[in-house]
Amino acid sequence: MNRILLIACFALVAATNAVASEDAQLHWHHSYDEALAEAKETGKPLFVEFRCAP
Amino acid sequence: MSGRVFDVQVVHTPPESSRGQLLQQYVLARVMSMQDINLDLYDYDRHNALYFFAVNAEEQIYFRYGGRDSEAPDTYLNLDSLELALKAGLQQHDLYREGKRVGTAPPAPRYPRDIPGIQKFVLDRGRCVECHHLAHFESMELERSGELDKLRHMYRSPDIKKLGIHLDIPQGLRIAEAKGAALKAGLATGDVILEIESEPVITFGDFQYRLDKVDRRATTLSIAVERKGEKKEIEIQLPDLWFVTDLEHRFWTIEPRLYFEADPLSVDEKKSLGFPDDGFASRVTEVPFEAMLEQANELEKGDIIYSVDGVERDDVAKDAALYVKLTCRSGDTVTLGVLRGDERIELPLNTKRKSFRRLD
Repeated sequence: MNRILLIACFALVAATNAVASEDAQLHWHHSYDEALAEAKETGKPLFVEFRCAP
Repeated sequence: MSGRVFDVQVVHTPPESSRGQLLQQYVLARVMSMQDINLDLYDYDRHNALYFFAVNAEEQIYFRYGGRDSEAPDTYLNLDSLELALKAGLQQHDLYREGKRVGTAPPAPRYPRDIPGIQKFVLDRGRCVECHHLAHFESMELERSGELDKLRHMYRSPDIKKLGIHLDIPQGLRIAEAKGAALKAGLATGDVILEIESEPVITFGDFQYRLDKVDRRATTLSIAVERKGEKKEIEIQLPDLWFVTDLEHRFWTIEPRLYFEADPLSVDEKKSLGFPDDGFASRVTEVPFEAMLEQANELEKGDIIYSVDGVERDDVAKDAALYVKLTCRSGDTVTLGVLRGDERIELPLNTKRKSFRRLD
């Protein structure tokens, strides 16, 4: 029982860290049109990266 | 550092960092397929695997970030200069919103689907439209329409070092050292480039893009710089062949296909064999088996090619292969002067179109 509880705790901590890590990332749109729509809505400028597939 | 590392550093910028705080003032987009992109708006040398633009919602471009030289794809990619550019982009945005920055009409839309080769070979096959596809098929369309000017379209990333301009790269367009034509014109260490041919520039990407638009026959280039808080206009006398760079990184994309590879001889070797120092003489290092299948040539490894249709040297092309690429269309036949052992012979070279471009 204790072992199950311990694993559950580890899983919770890992999940929390994953969410925190995701929260700590900048949000990059992968659709140009969606990004443009957000720029129109928010009045922010748009910074676009064109990345040729590696 | 490769472009790939720079890409990762930018995309994974910590939000709390100074760069992250600047990036959060923009809407960010990372585009991996050019499928729905207006190619004439987002115009850049497609031989950059990584390129950035700051624009507003009306698609007015504030700055380009990217550009390259022949030595490396990432010579001018730098996190400090990116931060400067991002700050400048926000200033431009404020000016635009206050009506203090004049906008220009965006170019008419032109999408990858408007290029027949892209439609047939990429979109119809459900593939992503990558920048190198655009490089190939845009060149092919230009060739078909008779508008391909190889000195214009193959040399899209002029090297500013050829003008004598050496930048303090982390500081954007601040000059670290002026040499040659730039020094002669009066450019000096510490000057910050503001305009080229009266067009404002913020980044190296802007500068190289504007330089690429300069007529290849131009003999002068006007530059405005900031020096000690004042704007100063300078005219550079362009050196001969100022736009010519090493094309090795894009060589295989230039029609026609030749089916051989060769390395230039050293000057000493050229002299000992009686060829001009600046001539074409180069040793064949590889002849792929397709040369026989395509009846392209009968060259052998070790042959020395020293002339093309009797021409042994050229101002732009330093070897026979590049000379053929710059002067021939796919399907042309030329005669190569070849030294095989001790014997000088002539061999026909039947040039071919690259197979993936054979649409007819």
